[in-house]
Amino acid sequence: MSAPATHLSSENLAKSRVAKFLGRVNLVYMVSAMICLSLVGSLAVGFGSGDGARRIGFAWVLNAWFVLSICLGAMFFVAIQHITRAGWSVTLRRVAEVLSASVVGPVLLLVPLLVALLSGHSGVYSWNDPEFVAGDKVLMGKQPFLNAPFFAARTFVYASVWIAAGVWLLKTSQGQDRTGDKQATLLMERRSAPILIALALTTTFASFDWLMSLDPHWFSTIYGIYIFSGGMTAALAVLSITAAVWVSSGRAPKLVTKEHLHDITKLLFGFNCFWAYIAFSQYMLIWYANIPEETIWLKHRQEHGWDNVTLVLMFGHFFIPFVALMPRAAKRNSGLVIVVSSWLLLMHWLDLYWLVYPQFNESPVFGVAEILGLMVAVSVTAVAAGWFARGENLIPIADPRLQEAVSHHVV
Amino acid sequence: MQRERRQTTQIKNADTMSIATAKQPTALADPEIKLDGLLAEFVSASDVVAAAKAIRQAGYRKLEVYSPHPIHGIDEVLKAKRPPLPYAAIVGAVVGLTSGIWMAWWMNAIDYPLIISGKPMFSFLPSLPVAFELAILLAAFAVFGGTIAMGGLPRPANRLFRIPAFARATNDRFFIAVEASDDVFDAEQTEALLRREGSVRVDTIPIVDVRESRLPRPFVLTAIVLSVLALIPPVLIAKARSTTSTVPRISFISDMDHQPKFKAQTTNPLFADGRSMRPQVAGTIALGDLREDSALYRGIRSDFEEATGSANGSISQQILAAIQSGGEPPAAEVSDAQPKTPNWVTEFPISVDETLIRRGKERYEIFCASCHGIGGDGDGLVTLRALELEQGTWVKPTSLHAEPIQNQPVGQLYNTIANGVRKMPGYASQIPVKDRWAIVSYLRALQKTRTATAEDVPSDVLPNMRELN
Repeated sequence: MSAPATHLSSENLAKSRVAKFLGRVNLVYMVSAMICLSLVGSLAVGFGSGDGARRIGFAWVLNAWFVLSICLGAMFFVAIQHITRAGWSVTLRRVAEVLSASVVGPVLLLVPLLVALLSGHSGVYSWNDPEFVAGDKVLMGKQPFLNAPFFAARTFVYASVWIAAGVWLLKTSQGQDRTGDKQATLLMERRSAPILIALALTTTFASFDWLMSLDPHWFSTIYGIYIFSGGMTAALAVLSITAAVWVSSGRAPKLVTKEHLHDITKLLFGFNCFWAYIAFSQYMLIWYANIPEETIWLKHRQEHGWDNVTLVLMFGHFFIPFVALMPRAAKRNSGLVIVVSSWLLLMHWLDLYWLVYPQFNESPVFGVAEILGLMVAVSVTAVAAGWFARGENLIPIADPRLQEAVSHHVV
Repeated sequence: MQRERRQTTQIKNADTMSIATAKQPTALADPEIKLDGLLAEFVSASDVVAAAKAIRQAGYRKLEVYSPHPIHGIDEVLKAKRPPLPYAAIVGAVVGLTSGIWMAWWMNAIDYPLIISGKPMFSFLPSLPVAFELAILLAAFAVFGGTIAMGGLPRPANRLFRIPAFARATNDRFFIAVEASDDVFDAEQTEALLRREGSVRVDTIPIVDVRESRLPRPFVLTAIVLSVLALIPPVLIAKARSTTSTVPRISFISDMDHQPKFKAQTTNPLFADGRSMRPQVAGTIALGDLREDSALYRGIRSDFEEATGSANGSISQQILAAIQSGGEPPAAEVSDAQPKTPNWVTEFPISVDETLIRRGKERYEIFCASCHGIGGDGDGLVTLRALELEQGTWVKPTSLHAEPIQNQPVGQLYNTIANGVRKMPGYASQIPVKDRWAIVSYLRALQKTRTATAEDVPSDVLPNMRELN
């Protein structure tokens, strides 16, 4: 099986359908910008109404973290592919790089929440209410950490790390398209190691700050990994959808093949199992230790309708996708992969909903606020992605390992 | 017929062939001599793939490709059937999963139930880690065993190795072996096809009348002998577990098993009475055991104290007096009368201050509140649960604020804590003496909360109390 050498030259690629597809990215960017602006406008209006503000705050946190976890997962993916000198994933990596640079979108979404926190709003984060904290021994002890200025400073650090890493990874790779410099690959490989460490630390602590502190009395040391595993699964779902769309539409023949689809879906399958493992570990340890301080969090999620959400999550996020994606043939079937990956994205949203919303209300609520929040979050991120992808190749045409990716063959 | 292949197809190891075909080297020259197939050698992987494709297209089905490294795409060319190994894996996994859950259920709920913190005897969730690991393990075993079995292994003898050229199959050459039993097989035509498709040599595969999967005799004999020997230890163990023995067991760690010390309830030849456990010497009391202060240790005012008014040394004074008077120590009173109520002390034998009461509060909440309740009303969590169960075996503790209890002297309260009363067990082994008095002092404070009047409240506190609802 010799490599199709004719497809590698950049002139050919420029004429290929890939380049034509790029033209459409600008359109997507424009449309997303319009949706985003109109939605932000309507939300600004909605924010005025008293208690609805608390609900919009929760919806905002949930959806911002939905897209943030996907962008962080994509960043992890890129760094891991660099650090392992992976060749098979080169043709898919640019999309992941664009996604990781798009972390700018979710970070922008966090800004209004930070402003609200700094101006004393405590509807979402109860530790921001000095009266509430004063009567509580546990919260008094956590006060040096859970206070708005320190919180904002920490978020600033996380955001800087994320934006710096994501944009740098993308820009270096895009720069290599023009120069063909092999040193860029080596540089990205070297820098991926500290990037991974920084990413792990910032993801963990950001999840503690933004998600775990919603219930400030509760804690779980595995929480950071829980969020990471969910985000990684979701990012891989996005990449699987991309690969499946490219394979089924024939947009990049021989550049993205069923072999790539098979492997990225394999990773998705594996990380989904990893998510289930972590989720179960957290559940079982809390259940077995039976310490009331910890079990109360799970108790909320086992009554008043949240138990149904838990069951849906158990079967929908793990058991059904596990069985659906297990056969080899399933991983090579673009239609099935698109369906299961989209489902997994929905399940990831549901997972975050299950983590966040029991703090908002005793029983599950779903309505316009949540949908609006989702649309805002997704369109802001799509705008960011469009911005970073505009005018550039969607495949790293000058990557030294492109040959390996093109001739990749799964046994 | 001229055959050039005489030079190229000679079987060099004719002497190793079996009797049946040992006649001549070039079997192809004589069509009567059967061969088992043809082995063609190729120089590169792409050559062998192209040739395999052509041979399949020509209608051959029984062919196999041998290569030093895996060749991408060869499976599609050969249209080799995938063995049902994944099904072996899933069967192993399911068996492992169910065995793990069954094991947890059988062991923890049926065979040897253990009560652990009141958790259910069997719970599905904690059995999952065991079940999961077992699933992985058995799936791995199934795949391992399945690979060996489905690959037709072990195959100690492969007839192809009788062809010297085949040695390069693990080095740098690629081979196609076409079976003679193939429908389309024809000695001449197949060879011609193989040469046309780029092979550099073609050998005949000899017929071997020994089954390739047969292990050599010495292996089989050794395996049988070892298996029989391996049965001996389990049989010995089974015998030992099912019979009794008059001989003590063999001790490997003799220093630990036979320690040079005297254990309780054994004989000791060093003493006249032969006992290892030495009784207390007559007329002695161990240090700390005298417990002369009857008020402190028993909450009882002794008669001697009554008479002399001194709290301490009642017993030792008695003994001393008896010795000085030259007589026996006063004998215990034996009387047929009704046992009289002990002379409970009414004053605390230790000084009562706020520290003592606070200590008593803490100790009360640890030891007593579970039945008697935080407030002493007999509504502790244990009581509530016992009443909920309605099994008829629980007696609700008396409210500590009831009149009889309020009227009890402190010595009696102390005695109840130490020795129990009616269904309440004694807590002497758990609560040291001073702590028992601390609890008594707290009890009095508790009782005071229900019976206090305005006069009992300090004058500086009372005005504040009046302002509150």
